[in-house]
Amino acid sequence: MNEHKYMDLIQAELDDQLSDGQRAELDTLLRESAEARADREEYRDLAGLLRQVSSRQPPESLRQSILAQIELAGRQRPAPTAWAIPAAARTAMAFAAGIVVTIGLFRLAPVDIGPTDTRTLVGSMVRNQPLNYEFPRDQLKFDLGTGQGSVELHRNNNLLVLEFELRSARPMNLELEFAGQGLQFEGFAHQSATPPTLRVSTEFIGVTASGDQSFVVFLAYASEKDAGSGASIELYFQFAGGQTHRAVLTDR
Amino acid sequence: MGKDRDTALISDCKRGDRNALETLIRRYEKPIYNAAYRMLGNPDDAADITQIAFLKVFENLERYNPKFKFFSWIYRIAVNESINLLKRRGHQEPFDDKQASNLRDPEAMVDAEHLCDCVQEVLMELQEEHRAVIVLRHFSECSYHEIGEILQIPDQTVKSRLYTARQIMKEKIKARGLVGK
Repeated sequence: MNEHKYMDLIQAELDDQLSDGQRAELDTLLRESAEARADREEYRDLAGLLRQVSSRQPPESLRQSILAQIELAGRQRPAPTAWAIPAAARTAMAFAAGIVVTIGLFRLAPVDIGPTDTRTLVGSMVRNQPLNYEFPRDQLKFDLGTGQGSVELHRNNNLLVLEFELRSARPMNLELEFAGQGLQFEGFAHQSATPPTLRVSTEFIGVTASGDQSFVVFLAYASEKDAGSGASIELYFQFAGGQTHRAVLTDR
Repeated sequence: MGKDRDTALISDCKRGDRNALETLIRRYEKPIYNAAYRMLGNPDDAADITQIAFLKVFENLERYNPKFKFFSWIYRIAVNESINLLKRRGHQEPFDDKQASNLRDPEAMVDAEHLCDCVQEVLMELQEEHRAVIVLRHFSECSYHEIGEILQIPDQTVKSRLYTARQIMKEKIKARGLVGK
């Protein structure tokens, strides 16, 4: 029995690196050797033990402390990093340098698509909540050539309602990220014969769509405390596999 | 789109977008803190290393090459800073003796907290290079290639180092009666 051989295979198995041929080889070795079976069991126990170790939550103050340190460092030294430069000057510098990506582009190239008519949407919500809202908390409009659209963020008690109006002849990927903000997915509604494909996790929602789309994503704050903090939702748009554009909607 | 999202965020960070900065911190704060904690075995040190890693990242943001994954870069800084801290101290951070003696009592090991402490104790007994591969593979769930990028070693070295680290760790865990019963 070649001990090195079966040890290699056992370890490769732990890392999901076994080919079909190696799998068959390992099975044979395990059938033939009690020692190999015992070793494999121990390695699997070790891997199981490591899986049981839970991750630790960083101190609550850590994020603010990191931000404060970075901003302090930015103030203590001149450009190239722009933390200490006033917003207007930053924008001017960005344009002078030809930096035309993400939110600046979104807000500076408005298109008039008009508000979503939510009465014609179909879909479902996790819980039945009466909707009663007026002015958007935040909104953006964009024209990226390959796609146009608008998004509005509304707030209704502990519910956030994101209304999307998108136009794109080509496939579009959209991701909404809301990790660490006490938000959870609450529902989705759309108005299209070919509805978008939805992927939902605890930290983000992915939408794949093409053509004209009107849809609404509902998110809910998990607690009063979270609702009081107000969330920022990251939006990432990618049209036809091109550059990813980022924007942020803030519940303010 | 994960890498693209990081690239978009970094682009905004470079333009001074505080919101993008906060998002990037929110995304990586916990994994970096956990990797540092597993390397150092001490929550205060882990918090310090997390801060240092982010500070270094943002001080060098202009030099960031989007060809490489952002997470590899920040993990590399965190792991290297952790190892540097251990070396500066000249010895491994001692695990509390009283706690360690409890860990050898089988009855005391039944709950998850003690189990975590026991694993951490064993981790701290490993050489730093072995600890790093265990942390990155089993706690940060990195692939061989990602570990190679972070530690700047070939994939084959990652594999052999990981095998050796597991073998040592298994024997230590076995000696504590947690595997091979």
